[in-house]
Amino acid sequence: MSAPIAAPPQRSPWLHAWRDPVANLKAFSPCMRLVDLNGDGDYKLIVADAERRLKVYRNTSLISENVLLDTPVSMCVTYTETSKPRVPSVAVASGPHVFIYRRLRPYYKFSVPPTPLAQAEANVWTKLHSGAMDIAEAVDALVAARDGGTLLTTRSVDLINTEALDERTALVDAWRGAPLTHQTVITCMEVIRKNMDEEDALSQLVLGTEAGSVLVLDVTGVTIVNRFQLPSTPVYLAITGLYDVEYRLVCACRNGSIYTIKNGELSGTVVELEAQPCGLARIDKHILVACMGAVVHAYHIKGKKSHSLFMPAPVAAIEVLSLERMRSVKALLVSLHNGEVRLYVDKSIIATIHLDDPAVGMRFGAYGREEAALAMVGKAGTLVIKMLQRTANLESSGAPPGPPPEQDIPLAIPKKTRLYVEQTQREREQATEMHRIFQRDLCKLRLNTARAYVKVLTDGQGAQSYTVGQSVRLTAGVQGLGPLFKLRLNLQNLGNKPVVDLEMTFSANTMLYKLHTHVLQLPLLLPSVTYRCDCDVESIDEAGASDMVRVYVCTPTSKVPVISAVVTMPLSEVIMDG
Amino acid sequence: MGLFSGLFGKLGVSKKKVKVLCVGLDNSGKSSIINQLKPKKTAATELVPTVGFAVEEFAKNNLNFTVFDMSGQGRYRSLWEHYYKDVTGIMFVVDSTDKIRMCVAKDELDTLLAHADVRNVPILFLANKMDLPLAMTPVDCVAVMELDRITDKPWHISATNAMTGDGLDEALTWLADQMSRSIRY
Ligand SMILES: Nc1nc2c(ncn2[C@@H]2O[C@H](COP(=O)(O)OP(=O)(O)O)[C@@H](O)[C@H]2O)c(=O)[nH]1
Ligand SMILES: [Mg+2]
Repeated sequence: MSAPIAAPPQRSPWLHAWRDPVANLKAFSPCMRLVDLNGDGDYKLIVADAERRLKVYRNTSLISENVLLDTPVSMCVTYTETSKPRVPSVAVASGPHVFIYRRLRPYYKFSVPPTPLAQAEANVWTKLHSGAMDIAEAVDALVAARDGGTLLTTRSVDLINTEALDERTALVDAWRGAPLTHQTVITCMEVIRKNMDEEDALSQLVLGTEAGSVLVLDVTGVTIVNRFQLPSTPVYLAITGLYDVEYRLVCACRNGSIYTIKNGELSGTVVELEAQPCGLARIDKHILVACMGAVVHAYHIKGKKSHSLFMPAPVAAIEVLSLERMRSVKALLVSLHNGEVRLYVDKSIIATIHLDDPAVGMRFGAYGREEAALAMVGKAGTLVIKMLQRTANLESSGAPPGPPPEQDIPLAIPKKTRLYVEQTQREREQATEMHRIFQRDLCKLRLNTARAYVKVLTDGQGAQSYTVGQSVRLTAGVQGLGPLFKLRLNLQNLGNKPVVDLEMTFSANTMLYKLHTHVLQLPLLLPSVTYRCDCDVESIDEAGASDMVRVYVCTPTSKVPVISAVVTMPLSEVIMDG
Repeated sequence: MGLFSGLFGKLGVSKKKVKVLCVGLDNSGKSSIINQLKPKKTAATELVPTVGFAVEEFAKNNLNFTVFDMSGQGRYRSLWEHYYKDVTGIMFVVDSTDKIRMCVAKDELDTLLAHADVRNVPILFLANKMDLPLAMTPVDCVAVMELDRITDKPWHISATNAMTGDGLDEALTWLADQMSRSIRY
């Protein structure tokens, strides 16, 4: 089948603003935000870097860098006051804590309260420390508790996962006397606005924890105002509505299900995914969830599946493109591990960006004074900023999805010829034999392939060589009439990495030739540079007989020469003794 | 002509009228520049972001200027094209410190240049805010905005400071010169 007919190439709606290949950032989407940090309309990019740095970018430069106390999981921006200018707080979640910064200075710390201990687990530890139970029994009991559905403390998980007995003993000893607590950690964090749907309206933090609970904090971030328990650990949150009015918290969980909390209650609609979620977004009444296995599913917020978008590569990040001020457009950005960043409106793809460094973190929003910017952090730490053209056409092409109209045009298939009929007849009658012949040929082909492979592995001969991962070309020539000859050897590294530690050795019949050098230490071979080395060979045979000189290029790591050459020496002129 | 125009100029009767369109992204300093060009007594002391557009009139370089100060904010940029038709010159102001939006400025310029209503009028580029550190030089601006591809219109670029007026006079003299050439007496 031919490839689907592509739409005529149109101008990309993305303008390239800036790229910093050495930004050296390590962050996924939850740790990136575009925010008006000083309330002056000049938006900055804040990144909570996995290397424990809080970095702020303005225009094309890094303007501030603060040390974080722990590795960040997620970062959000909240507005806790109604005063002007509107200066947001930055909340960074790491471990069980949320660190709140105001004007980039540490301001307050919220800690998730410990979860109550499971009785069975507590008993095991008491017995273990009192000596009533040995370590093996304790581990069995803990595994049984875990398999029975108890959420274990990190201490128990560590013990189960340690293999060697002495290490286990060391762990148990180290914890002796320290009270057993179940301190859960934060897995995701988002923001819900309190009572006004504006970017800088009062907002509250929503936290998801490893223990499977979802906590809603008050505006100041000091107290928990609501707590929900989910059957599994939430890993992505998508939030709609206002906390004081009507809201939904959509939680994609590690068990591959999506749960919804609606106005203070866990609703009964559960979406079960075929694969683990790796990204969650919401566009109006649709929930978009990227799953492992290169697909993005769209569900109606009430749980009904709407459609799926299939991708050519695994999804690295998803993000919503939403324009409200100038015109109302909502679209989905999908970053793939092959470096593409696709823009979808409904089901149709509008534009694609190709990046050298696949984007693993992505945020769309205002940057600088531009309302529609896309900041992307690559796997290798590249920072790229693109801007959406003001006049970009973001309408979906309108063509109904499904088979292209060409499909209905019948192909000009020629009539069945007699030859064709005879061939099919033969195929029907002699199917077994044909199959046998095919199998035999296939077998032969495989044998030939294997032989050729063995030859490649053992050979190391010929003018070019690809053995042991290096490819070196050796050409040899002889100069002189004799009895003194000069072997001229040209070496060239055809790979793209420098090659070191090569040696060249010569061997010849010592009855006929005297070699002036036997071993040559080769210098570092830079790619594609030609190196010349010479070796003097003297014919010592009185009759001037000719023989071969063998040249081998070897590495210390392999028995097989990287390359070898056989130089046939010409007949030597005989020196006429007076 | 010289004598008469000088004389008339002093009398303020025969000064030719020119319409100039001042465009550029928001916050690039368009209103500040126009404010700086106006006679001292009418100049505003405080500027707020322009909404829609503003019209200013003043005399300079022997010409009577009518300047349309367009708002550069995204949602108002679509207004620019309605004024292309009957202007004598265009001023395109660039904030030379706003590197991240150079691509946007270039895109707006591309749209302007491709517009059917833009005739063969002189374009004056002002690389404004040259006093600030990290400001790009006019040469950098020419490269980034690819100005050298404009071959069908006279154009000129100057670095300016709208706060002090540095560079503005020289730039305006060029524009006035170009415009006096194109209008018939
Ligand atoms: N330092 C400096 N600031 C400038 C300059 N020109 C304009 N500004 C400032 O830039 C801001 C925007 O100016 P404005 O004239 O309103 O820009 P407009 O949106 O293009 O009309 C104001 O705060 C000005 O004070 C300049 O040459 N140097
Ligand atoms: Mg203005």
